[in-house]
Amino acid sequence: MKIRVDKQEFLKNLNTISSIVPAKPVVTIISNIMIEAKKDVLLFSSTDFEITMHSEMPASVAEDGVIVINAKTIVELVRKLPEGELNISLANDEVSIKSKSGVYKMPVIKKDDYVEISRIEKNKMFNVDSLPIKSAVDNSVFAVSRDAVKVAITGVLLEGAGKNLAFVGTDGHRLALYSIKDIFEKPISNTVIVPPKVLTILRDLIDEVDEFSMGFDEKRIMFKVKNIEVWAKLIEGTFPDYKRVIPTDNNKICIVKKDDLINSLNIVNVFTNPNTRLVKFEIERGKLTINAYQNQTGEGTEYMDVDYEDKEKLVIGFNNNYLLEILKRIETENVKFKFKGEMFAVIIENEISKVDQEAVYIIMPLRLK
Amino acid sequence: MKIRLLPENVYSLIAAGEVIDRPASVVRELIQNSIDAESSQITLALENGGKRLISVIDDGIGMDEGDLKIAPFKHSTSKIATADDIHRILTYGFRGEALNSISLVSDFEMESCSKDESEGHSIKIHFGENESVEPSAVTKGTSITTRDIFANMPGRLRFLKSDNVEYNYCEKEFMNLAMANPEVSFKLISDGRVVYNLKQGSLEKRILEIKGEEFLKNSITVNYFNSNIRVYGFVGKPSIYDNKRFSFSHVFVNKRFVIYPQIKRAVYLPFGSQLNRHFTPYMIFIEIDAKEVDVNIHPAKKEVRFFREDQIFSTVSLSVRESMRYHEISSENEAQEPDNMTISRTIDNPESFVKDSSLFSDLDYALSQKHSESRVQEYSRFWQFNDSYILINLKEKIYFIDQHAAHERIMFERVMKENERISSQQLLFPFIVRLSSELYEFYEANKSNMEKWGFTVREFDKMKILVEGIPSAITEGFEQSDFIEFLSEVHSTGSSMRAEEVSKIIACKAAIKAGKKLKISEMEDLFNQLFLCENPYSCPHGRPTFITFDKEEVGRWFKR
Ligand SMILES: Nc1ncnc2c1ncn2[C@@H]1O[C@H](COP(=O)(O)OP(=O)(O)OP(=O)(O)O)[C@@H](O)[C@H]1O
Ligand SMILES: [Mg+2]
Repeated sequence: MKIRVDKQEFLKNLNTISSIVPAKPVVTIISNIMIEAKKDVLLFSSTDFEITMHSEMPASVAEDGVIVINAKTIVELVRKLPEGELNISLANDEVSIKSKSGVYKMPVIKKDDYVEISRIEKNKMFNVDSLPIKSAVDNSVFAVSRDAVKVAITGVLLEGAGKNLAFVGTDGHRLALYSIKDIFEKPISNTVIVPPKVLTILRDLIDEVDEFSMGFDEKRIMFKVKNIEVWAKLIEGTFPDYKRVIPTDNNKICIVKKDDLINSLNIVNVFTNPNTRLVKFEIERGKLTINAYQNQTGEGTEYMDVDYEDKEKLVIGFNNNYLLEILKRIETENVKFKFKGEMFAVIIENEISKVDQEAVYIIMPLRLK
Repeated sequence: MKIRLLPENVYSLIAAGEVIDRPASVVRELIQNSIDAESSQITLALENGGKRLISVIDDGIGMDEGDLKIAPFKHSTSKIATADDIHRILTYGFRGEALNSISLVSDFEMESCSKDESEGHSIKIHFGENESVEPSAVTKGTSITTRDIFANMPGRLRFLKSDNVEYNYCEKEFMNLAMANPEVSFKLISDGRVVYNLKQGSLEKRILEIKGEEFLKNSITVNYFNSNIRVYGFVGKPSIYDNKRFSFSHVFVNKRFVIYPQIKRAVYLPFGSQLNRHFTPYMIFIEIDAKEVDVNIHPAKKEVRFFREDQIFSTVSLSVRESMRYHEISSENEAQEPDNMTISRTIDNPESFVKDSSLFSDLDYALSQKHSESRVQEYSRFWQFNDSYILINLKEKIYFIDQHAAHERIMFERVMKENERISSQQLLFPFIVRLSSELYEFYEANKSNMEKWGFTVREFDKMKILVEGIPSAITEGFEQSDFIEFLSEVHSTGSSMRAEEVSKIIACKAAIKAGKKLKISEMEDLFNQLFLCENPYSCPHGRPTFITFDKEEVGRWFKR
């Protein structure tokens, strides 16, 4: 192999590709990355077995070839090199990199010792806008269970139905559902469970692009963002029937100023029990009283004006952490609560939804005395 | 700048009380005003410990004639305008009270010139009585002189101590502000003698001038950023103890000197048993979004309340621990580089943090995150053995912690605090449990207790019950089999079923299991929480939560 590349471009690709290389891998071979030179293109590949990443850049290739090399070492070296051109060549299992200021030689690993990495299948991909996907990731991943016996709920459910796509995250106590209308050009029908880590990687990659392509089959989710391709293993298992738990008859509506509510919850949080984070809401016509109490710490009560018309007073308890996490996702000035009763699931929503995107959060109450 | 009178609905929210009780309070209020006015040079002059004269001269933005007239009114301030502003205070002042209080108890003169004016003005107030506003020769900044404090209040006057003692109080206030604001030059003149002349510079340099080289040499630098909380400062090494001079423990929150002894625990925690008589001096600066801290609880603003106090504690502990790790590394090189003051990380630009309203730039945050992560990986002293035990080396000793037993202890103490009734988290996906006839009988007999224990259950069918809610302490997956286990364990405790026994069982169910891989941050957290327990030494069933080996013991293993 014999190539000439611009240091900046080369480093950029190295950085991206090594982002998934684990710091302490179970199998040491995956602390390496693979760089393939072929017909004026460099192809970078890395994997942690769960997620595989490729990226491409143009380069002047005098001789095709492949190197497999320790990710950390090469990134560290290239980062420090002066700007300008680098000449990279491979001879006798040794790669040599020449910069303006010096020459560096490193052993490489045989290509055959590295993991077999396959490319994504482009014919299964669809183009999508990145903006709604970013929101969907931001507003669903937080609700995912970090540690559940049921593996299925350690991931986010992506449900493609027709031209629409929904993201669902839950930990059994609360649930986030983010639906995007008309994101696909052609109708599809497919449901997969994706590890949160994969979505976070995707979120980073699409931060500054308007569009990318994605696709999924039974085992994998794939996406392609500019010159970068990623595919990842899905979580297997059955996701709970989330549609069943979304209430349809919560008719008691309460509208609250979001920032004020967050403030009040933060204040009474001082008095909550760290185990339960129990806060009590008392809602009556036009008025919300929030109270938290703990034997040793004392008691805190906050009062707020709200929009609530129901004649009956409602008293309901929540885990304050769950509430705050959800409220952080609310994008409108006011937040809308929909209640049924003390022991029933509660819906929390933006006061007004966007036309083509909708976020619905559900939280189960804590039973009060 | 425009000074306005606060409306009643705003000032009624402000913590009221005595602002001025001795010369030192005047010193504090005036210097704080000067810093709020963006001064770069502040001079304090005292006579007779401030009893005869206190004068503060600054080169800040000044006041125009209109502002000068209104500044000494009660509730007049340029720093806040609405009730909401009280929740995001970035200046020292906000009550609009200080100048008023001072002018009521002293012979007060204030001269100032704003940069929009061609000439300055002066105002005189004699123990609360306005005398005159006249042109003055000042061309920049503000100069305030108060004479004969409390001359109109004999009771108060008698309460003051000797000149020396009062001087010491004043000097303390001066120092506290000088330490927190190294980007400002400070000068202190007492009875005509220049006592301090502190030039603007880095925090390190300022501390060097105030606390001396010996303190810096014998302390570690803390500089840490996590969860939007920045912690920096200096903590004495355990070896510094015997020195009387270093008996301070300073805490600054957003550059405000506060009394916050609670933090001591967090600072000392990482030292474990290394501290002599449980003491080492420290100087901790906490920087946090103004929205997350309430400064409006003490009339002299010497106390604050954090909305996320737990987080403050753990971040402070972490920051000290991080710095100790670092320090160990640099101390190895000490011999070769005697001049290296074992300062692990230099503090660059601490001042850029407070005044800016978007407290931290995203970049800062990202950098600091990256940093702390990789550092934890490289230098973490936490190891997990067999996914069940945590190993930590804390000077001289190795701790072996049983993760399940330790967490059980933590949960148990918390559940016990819930007392009368354990709260029940309702489930989105309730589940059905089929019980054996013996357990079903037991369940029938204890239906009423189920609620007390934090469960929400309903009979579903013969021998089957529907579990709709579980004790909220249990955050990890809880399933059919766990419920059956719970029932049978309670059953087996016999007829008493004391709350304590049931709490133990719930704690056990809620606790991290043996065999679970933990992140370093989780291990660290568990460790911290454990040692905050009333009885950290054993789990509720009486098994030990940790054991230790010291170097002698390890030495013996190797027949040393
Ligand atoms: N040294 C100074 N330079 C410029 N302006 C000043 C100075 N000292 C006071 N002021 C102005 O006078 C106002 C009143 O000061 P005062 O100390 O009474 O109230 P404050 O600082 O707003 O609140 P607090 O009572 O909490 O200190 C300030 O808001 C400020 O606008
Ligand atoms: Mg003031």
